[in-house]
Amino acid sequence: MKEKLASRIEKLAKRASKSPVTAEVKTSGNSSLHQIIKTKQQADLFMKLLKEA
Amino acid sequence: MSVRVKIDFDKVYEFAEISPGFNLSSFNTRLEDGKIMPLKVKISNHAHALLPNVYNLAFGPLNKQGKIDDKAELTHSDYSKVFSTILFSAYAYLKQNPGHYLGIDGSDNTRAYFYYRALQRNFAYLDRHFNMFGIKYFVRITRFGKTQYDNPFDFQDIMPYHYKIGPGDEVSQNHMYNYFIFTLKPER
Repeated sequence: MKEKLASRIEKLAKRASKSPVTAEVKTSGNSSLHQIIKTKQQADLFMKLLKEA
Repeated sequence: MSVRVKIDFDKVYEFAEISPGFNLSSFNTRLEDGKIMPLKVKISNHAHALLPNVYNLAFGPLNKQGKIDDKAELTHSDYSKVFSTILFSAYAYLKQNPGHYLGIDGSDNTRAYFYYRALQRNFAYLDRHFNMFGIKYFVRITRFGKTQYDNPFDFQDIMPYHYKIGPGDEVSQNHMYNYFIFTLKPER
């Protein structure tokens, strides 16, 4: 199954490289997580715990 | 939203466009009234200064200002195909960008609960591909006030905490996660 998915992704990557999207699309702003993380200490602790999980 | 979503990466909409690196893709969904609606899936292409590996995924139709409207209320004719396509684009992105984490905001509690129910119903399928986390935000209590009017919460001191999503974990709508994070499961 993963091989089949890998082959589909490879085909998509080839297609994407030939027809790049030019129109810029905006989102409504930063995610809630990015808004509440305000210090490096907070971010480092969060990422450390997430990587260990 | 009482819709049963069945995720299947073999049953997805054809991408109308897809960018190199898979940061941006779009596909056309059919709504229940027969109307065709283009949906965008956008993964932020700028890393946050403090969280360099966490990228936000947003999806929805474009509003008049050309922004993704993640609060749009659409009645899809095939929710399974819509969410399979969105999650397949997330999977493809993570394959192309190893080491990245993808985050999804529930724009409100109802929507976040809907996403969580869909993750749970499809846990066995998704667990083959992703590690999935629910994130909650906790506010520090400074100290309990001497009177009922003192505010004990310090809203400048908030800590996010992750919970690894497991099969059958029950979380009520009132205690729903604020944010979801997906990473790719290492190949065995």
